[in-house]
Amino acid sequence: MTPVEFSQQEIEVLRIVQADLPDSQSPFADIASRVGLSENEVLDLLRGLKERGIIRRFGATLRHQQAGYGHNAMVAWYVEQDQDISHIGRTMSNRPEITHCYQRINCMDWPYNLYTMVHGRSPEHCCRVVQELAGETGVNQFEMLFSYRELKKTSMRYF
Amino acid sequence: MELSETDKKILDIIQTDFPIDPRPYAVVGRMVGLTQAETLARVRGLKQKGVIRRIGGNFNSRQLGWHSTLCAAAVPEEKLEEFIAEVNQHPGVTHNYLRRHRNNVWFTYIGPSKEQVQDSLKQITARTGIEILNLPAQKMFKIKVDFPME
Repeated sequence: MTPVEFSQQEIEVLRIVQADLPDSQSPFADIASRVGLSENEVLDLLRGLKERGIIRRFGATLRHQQAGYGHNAMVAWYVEQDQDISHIGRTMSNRPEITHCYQRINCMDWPYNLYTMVHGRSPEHCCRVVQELAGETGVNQFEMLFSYRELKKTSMRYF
Repeated sequence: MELSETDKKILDIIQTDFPIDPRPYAVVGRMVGLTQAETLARVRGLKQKGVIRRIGGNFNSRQLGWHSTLCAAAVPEEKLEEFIAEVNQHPGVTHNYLRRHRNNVWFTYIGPSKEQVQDSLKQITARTGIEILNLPAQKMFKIKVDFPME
């Protein structure tokens, strides 16, 4: 994939946007005046990046615990070679409780190759979703990994 | 925490689609029946209460040419604090959790290249003596981190 090139001023815009928007009625004009671009140049840059998918999502990031989705588990699934992992990945992704679903390379003695994050209102809710998915997909070898301490949670600073 | 119906509506809108518009809070306000000033005041309140962590862009690391991976390690109790400190000092580690499993430490690593990420993981292992499982994604089926409020 070709790396994306940005001007110095664009990088300064992205440095602000990867952190937190200015607290104001006109945050994009504020960014523009800080970096020496026009408001329209800032708006066009961000809209363009969003359209191209380079900005995956533009908006508020919540603390889940505070928003009522306090319980989550990572589930590592072992999908056998003769099973259609893409179909299974899509089936799991269809559930609203599943927020992340990735096929991953296995490593050393850890055979699992499909990973989901399940969010629920209680641990029981998470377990029920996982049991239902196991039944629906026929993938019966999995590990549920409940977190009990957050050690770090931050947004990546690319710029 | 109990959120008002209006707060929930605002959160639903600004999680997925914060308006990239000269007056974003006026746009959101029109959708929920509030003035610009009232909408901004509510968003400020939600930040102060800690419901909103930040407002901004979430970048696709792959499209920027970066490499990301999921890592796991089985760390004995007596080495835990040292290992966590070593891992967390890397700016490329964005999420790190203790999980109830023999493999108890799970973290994500993002770096400018695959080689840089592999080198950093080797360095952590060299310093701590702990083997790290490196589980890069082959295919992404879903990533959706905004939560419906209603």
